[in-house]
Amino acid sequence: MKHKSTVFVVDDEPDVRAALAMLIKSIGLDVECYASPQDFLDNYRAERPGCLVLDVRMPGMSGLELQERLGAFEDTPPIIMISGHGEIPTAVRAIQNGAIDFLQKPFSDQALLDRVQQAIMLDAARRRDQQEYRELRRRYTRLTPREREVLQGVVEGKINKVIAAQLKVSTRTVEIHRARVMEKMQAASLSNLMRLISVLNTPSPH
Amino acid sequence: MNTETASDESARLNPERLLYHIAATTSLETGGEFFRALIRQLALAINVRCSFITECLDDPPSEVRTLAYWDHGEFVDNLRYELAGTPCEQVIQEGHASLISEKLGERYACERGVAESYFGVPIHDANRKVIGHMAFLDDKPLPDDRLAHAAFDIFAARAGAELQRRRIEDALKASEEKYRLLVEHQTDMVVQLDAAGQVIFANPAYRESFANERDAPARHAFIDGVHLDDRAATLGALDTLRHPPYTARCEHRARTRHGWLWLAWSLTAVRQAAGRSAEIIGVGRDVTERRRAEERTRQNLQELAHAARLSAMGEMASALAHEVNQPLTSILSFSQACQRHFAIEEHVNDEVRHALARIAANAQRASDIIRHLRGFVRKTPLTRATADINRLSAAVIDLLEPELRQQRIALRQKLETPLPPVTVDPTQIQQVIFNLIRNSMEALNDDATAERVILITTGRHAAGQLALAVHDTGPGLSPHTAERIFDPFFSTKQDGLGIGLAICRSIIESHGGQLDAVPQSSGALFRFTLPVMEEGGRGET
Ligand SMILES: Nc1ncnc2c1ncn2[C@@H]1O[C@H](COP(=O)(O)OP(=O)(O)OP(=O)(O)O)[C@@H](O)[C@H]1O
Ligand SMILES: [Mg+2]
Repeated sequence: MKHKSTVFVVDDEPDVRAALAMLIKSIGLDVECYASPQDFLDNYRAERPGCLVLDVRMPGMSGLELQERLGAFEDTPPIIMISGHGEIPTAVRAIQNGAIDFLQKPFSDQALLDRVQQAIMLDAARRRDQQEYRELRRRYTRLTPREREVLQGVVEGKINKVIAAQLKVSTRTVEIHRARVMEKMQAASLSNLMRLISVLNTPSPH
Repeated sequence: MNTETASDESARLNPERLLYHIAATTSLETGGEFFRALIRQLALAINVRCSFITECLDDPPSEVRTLAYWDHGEFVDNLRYELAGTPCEQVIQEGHASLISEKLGERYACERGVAESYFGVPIHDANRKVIGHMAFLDDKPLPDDRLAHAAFDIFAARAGAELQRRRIEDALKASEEKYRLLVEHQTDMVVQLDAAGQVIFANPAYRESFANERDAPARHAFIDGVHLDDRAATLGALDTLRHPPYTARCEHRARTRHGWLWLAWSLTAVRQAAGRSAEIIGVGRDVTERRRAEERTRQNLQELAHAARLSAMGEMASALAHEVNQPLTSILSFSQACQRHFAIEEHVNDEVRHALARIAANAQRASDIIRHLRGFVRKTPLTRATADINRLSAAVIDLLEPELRQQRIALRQKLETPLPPVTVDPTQIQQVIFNLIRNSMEALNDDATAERVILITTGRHAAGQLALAVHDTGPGLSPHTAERIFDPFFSTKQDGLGIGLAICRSIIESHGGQLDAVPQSSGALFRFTLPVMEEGGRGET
C-alpha cells in the first residue's frame, strides 16, 4: 500500500474536532481535521485512502452537500455522517447518497471507532479492487486483436481445435496465441485467467 | 230646611257673611269632603235646587266628571258627561261665569230633569287654565242680583286650589305607586345603605337573593356577603362616593342563596343637607353569565397561549438539544479518548481512571435525558379537521379584541367569502394567526405613530392555495433583521423569546404551506398560504 489510511474529520465545532481526533488516534489511525466542507475540498486528493467523518449541519455548505459534491469524484471515500440534529429525513438522504452510516451526537467511542474501522477496511478493499482492475485493463490493452479473439474463445470454454476452426487458422497458431495471452495477462493457470477476466467484466467498482 | 233658608236670606244679602260662613264650614275639609261641603253650602246660600262641581278630564276639555253633586236637598251619585250641547260648555271653553236666568229648558235638555235657570263658574288653575267648573240649576228663574259674583270667584279660586292639590297628590301617588312597583318588581336589586355601609332598605330581589326574612330584614353590612378577594375593590368603590360625581360602579362575587354570583353595582351617594352623612343607593344586577363568558374567553386565550408555550418548548427543546449535544459530544469523546490512552499506561492511578469513566457516563446520561425530552415534546399529535380560514381568524380576533381596543389599535379585515375549506389542525393555525397579530400589536406599540392599524386579508392565492396576510402600520422590517426573523431565538424585543415566527413557519410548512415576510413600502406584512382541499371529484382547482 502506497498510502496509510487517514480519517478526515469535518465539523465546525473545534472541541468536537479535537475530541474525535484524539479518540481516533487512540486506535492508531491518522486523523486530519477540517473546520468546513470547503476547507476539506480545497485539500482533498482522491488518491489518499481513508474515510470521512462528516457533520450534517454546518454553516455554509452542509455535510449533505459535500457528500453530493464528492460523488462527482472517482474515488469517493466512505462517509460516516454525524449529527446533533438527528433528523430522520436527513439520515435517510445521507444513506441513500451512499454514506455508510449515520451517528447521532453524542455517540459512544466504540460506535464511532467500529464504523471508522469498517469504513477504512471498505475503502482499502475498494482501492485494492480498483487497482487490480486498472492493472488488468492495462494488461488486456496490450493484447493484439487476434489474441483477444483467442481469449474470447477460451473464456467461452472452447477447445483449441474449435477456436482454430472458427478463426480459420491452424490449431498450432491458436496454441501460440493462447500462450501469449497467458503471459501478457500474467495468468498462472487457466482457472486464474478465468478469475481475472471475470474481474474485468464486472463494472468498475470505483 | 227652613233654618237653612233663613241663613240663605242673610247670605244673599251679604256676600261677605256668606263667604265667611262657607269658609268656616269648609276650611277644615280637604279633598272630596271639601267639594261636598262647598257645593251644599253654596246651593243653600243662593237657594237653588241643584249644584255640582266638576273637573275636566281632558285637554282641551271635552268631558268632565262631577266631584260632588247636590240635588233636591241631598248628595247624589257623581257622573261624567260630555260638554257638547250643555250650558257648561260655554263656561269651560270661554272661562267666564255664565248665567241663564230663565227658560233654560228651551235651549238645553238636561238628563237629570229639566231646569229653568243655570249659573256656571269656571275653576282655574294657577296658570289661568280651566280645570273644572261649578254649576247651579233651579226650577225658577235665577235673578242676577242673587249672585254675588265676587264671592263665587273666591270660591272658585279656593276650589281650584283644592283641585290642583288633589291632582298633584294623585300624580304623586301614581308616581309613588309606579316607583313602588318598580322597586318591588324589578329583577335588579336595590339597596339603600347608610353612611356606614349598613343595609337599611332592600327590595325583594335583593332580599330574595340574600335570603333575609321578608318582613324583618336583618340589618347587615353590604360588604358581608362579598367574596374576600373582591372586598377591597368594593370598599374602594364605596369610598369614591364621598367625592364628585358621587357615583361609582363595582363588580363583585357575592354569596347568595343561589351560590356565588357575580353582581354589578351602580352606586350613587344621596347627598343630604349639610352636616348629615350621605346615604347610598345601590342598584345591582346579576352578571354571572357575562362574567362566565368572559372567563371562558380568557381561558381560551390561556389555552392558546399554553399551546404556544408548549410548541415553543418543543422548538426550544429541539434547538437546545442540538446546542447542548455539541459540548456533550466533546466531553464524551474527550473522556473516552483519555480512557483509551490511560488504559495502556500503568502509572495512571485508579482514581483518575474512575473519574474519566464517570465523566463519560454522565455525559451519556445528560444526552439521554435530552433525547428523551425531545422525543417527548415532539410527540404532540396533529389533528386534522376541515376548517374555514375566515372563521379561524375571526375566533382569534375575538380573543384579542379587548386588548386591541385597549391599545387603540384598529383591526380591519378584507375577507374573501366564501373561501374553499382547508384541512388543518385548527388550534395550530389559530396559533399562527395569533402570533402574527401579536407581533403586529407589539410592533405598533413600539412605534408612536398616529395610525395604528392591522389589516387582515384572506383570499385565494396561487392555484389550489389560500392565503392569509397580516399587515400592520408599524415600523416594518429592516433588510438586516428580515434575514433572521425566522431563526429560532432571534428577537429584537427585550423580553422576546424569538420563537414565535420559527414556530409559525414550522406549523405552516407541516401543513404544506409557506410563511413569508413580504417586503412592503410601509409596515410589515406576513403572509401564509395553505393548500385548498380537493374539491369533490373535480380534482383540480
Ligand atoms: N409585525 C412585525 N413588525 C416588525 N418586526 C417584526 C414583526 N413581526 C416580527 N418582527 C421581528 O421579528 C422578530 C422575531 O419575531 P418572533 O415572533 O419570532 O419573536 P419575538 O416576537 O421577538 O418573541 P416571541 O417568541 O415572544 O414571539 C421580532 O423580534 C421582531 O424584530
Ligand atoms: Mg412574536
